[in-house]
Amino acid sequence: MEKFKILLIGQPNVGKSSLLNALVGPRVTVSNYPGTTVEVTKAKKKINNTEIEFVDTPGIYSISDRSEEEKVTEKALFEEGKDGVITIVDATSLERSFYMVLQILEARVSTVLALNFVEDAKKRGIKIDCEKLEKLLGIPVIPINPLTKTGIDKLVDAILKIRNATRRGFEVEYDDHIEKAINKISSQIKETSMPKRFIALRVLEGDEDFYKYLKSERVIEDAKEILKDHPKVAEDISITRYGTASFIAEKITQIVPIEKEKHLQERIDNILMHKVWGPLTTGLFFLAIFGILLYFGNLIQGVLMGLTESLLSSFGLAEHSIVAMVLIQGLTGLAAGVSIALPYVFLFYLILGLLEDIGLLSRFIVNTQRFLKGLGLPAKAFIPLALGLGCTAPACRATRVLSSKKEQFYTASFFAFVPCSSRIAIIMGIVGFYGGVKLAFSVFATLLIAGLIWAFGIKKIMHIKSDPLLLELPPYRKPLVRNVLAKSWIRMKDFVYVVIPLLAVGGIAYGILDIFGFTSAMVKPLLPIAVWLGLPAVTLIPLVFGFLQKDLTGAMLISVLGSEISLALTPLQIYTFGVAATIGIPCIIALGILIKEFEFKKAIGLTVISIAYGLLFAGLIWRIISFF
Amino acid sequence: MGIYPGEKIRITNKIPDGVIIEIKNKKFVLGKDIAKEIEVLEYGKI
Repeated sequence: MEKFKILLIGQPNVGKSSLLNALVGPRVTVSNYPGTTVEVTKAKKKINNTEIEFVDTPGIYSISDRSEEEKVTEKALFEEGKDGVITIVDATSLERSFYMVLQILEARVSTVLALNFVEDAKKRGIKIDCEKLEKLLGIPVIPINPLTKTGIDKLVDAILKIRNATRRGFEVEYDDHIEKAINKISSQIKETSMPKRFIALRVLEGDEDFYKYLKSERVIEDAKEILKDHPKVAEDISITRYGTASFIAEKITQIVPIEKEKHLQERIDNILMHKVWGPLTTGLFFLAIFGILLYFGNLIQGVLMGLTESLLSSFGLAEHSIVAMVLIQGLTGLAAGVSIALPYVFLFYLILGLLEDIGLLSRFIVNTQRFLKGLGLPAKAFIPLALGLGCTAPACRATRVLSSKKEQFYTASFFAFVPCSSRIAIIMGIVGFYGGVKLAFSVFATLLIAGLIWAFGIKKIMHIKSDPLLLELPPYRKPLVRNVLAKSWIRMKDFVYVVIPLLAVGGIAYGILDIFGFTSAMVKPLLPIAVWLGLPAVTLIPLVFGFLQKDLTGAMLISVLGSEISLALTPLQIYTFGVAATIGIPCIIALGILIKEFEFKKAIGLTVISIAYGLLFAGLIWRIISFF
Repeated sequence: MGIYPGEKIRITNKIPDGVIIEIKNKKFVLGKDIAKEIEVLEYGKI
């Protein structure tokens, strides 16, 4: 069988992940704010007798800046083997997209141009002559729509021919002094698979990573001399390349101005981006989301709990048999976990997907900037923090978008207070369901206060200097139900395949521990914590098990206290339990990623300190409220 | 970085810590710190 490796490359928000999903089926989550892909994502597809491996790379604007995303993409492009590249460009903004296309052509990488958002361009009155573009650039140009799968078959055909395609395409002509410098450096470059002209350009643009291709130290010194004599050479190269990109875009497009939709988009932005109305609307939206989650989540949870309880009683297992008792515990854990976590996790991902696809999430992020700045968080920290609302583990990886390890670690420390979907399920499904709306809201408010105090203390220790903010805002779009559902399913997959079996295992483990009397032995050394929190000692078992997998917390609480939690705990105890279960680095998976991203000592230290802080905070509030 | 030298920028909104700009159908939020770094060659209506 023939094997192909194809890279997907393009600017942020250009539709790379959507295209990957259209090519191989739903595999990756698509977000319309930059930085959500900080690693390459690989997926394979068999076509006839060929196995194609597609590699989705982080979005970059050019092969020139030195961001973390750019380094990952550049490594995939130049250091790892590949048979070709699909360069995805935005049809609504061709001249901006062509800049990188010209760089890829300079590198003589076999490429197919996938033209995305063609319908959007038409709506804006932009007509594109694809045949003319193909002739001008010397590469195949395929208009696509990954969401409706338009043009995907044609694209696959073009990919299969890519290996035999000519690598020489359009070449940018620079000013004489630049061309002279290119020729001078080109003659002093070692033998390599990359074109010498491309390497010379990278050297002239000041990319020190390309010095290794020069024949000797003396040549490097010569190159530095050229840069000294012409300090603006990198800028000149950039301006010429952009000018050429604009020229090509102009040659192949016809523009008929259509203002109607643009006006509507601007009107919405005038409200959402207003210095007063923007934050206010964002706050109202968050409140509405809270209400929807609580109302519909509680509704579904009630139905599911009723169903699972009647299902369990219909099994009719004799409780006196040890195996039956263990099985019942396993099934109780499974049923409770599914009833508590599933409605909130699913609803949350559905709402998140909707907000992303409409284009609202990026606006909300901008409106929370001032707040983040106040916490001493760098501007780009919103990306991992927003992802943290879904799951802390990928959010830890997403801290890589920040420029320094110090910033990354500082941001990661806030995951202790950003509730992931599992922690939201605890707040909604345990505190909200058994204690009421006010208690659930109080837990969110407590998380906020605990986070503010944490920030106040830690920013004095770490002295973080904020990165400047630069964020692309996606246009408002009608969300496609199929797309939102597919995205929610991808995010939910781990819950279904990993968490649900774990819930059953957790329940069985608790059953075994309980039957053989190990639970009391396990709880005994932790008794002071239970006393401090004002909780019954058995409630520590769900807190401990919850660290293995957060969704176990709610299920285990029902295992140890029964389904009538409001009879076993007072409202204050339900609240305290909610706070203790949600503050801190949430689970062993998140800890594992933290260890991978930072040093072992730092990751362990952060986890222990954040959990201890959560317990201290919860106990303190319990004491203060009890006092009154 | 997302903005190429020589591009025409239109400021569409001002936000507390920066501006929202439009470049060829794309909208960006620029923080104050980064907006100050932009060298404006020519002002005008586009």
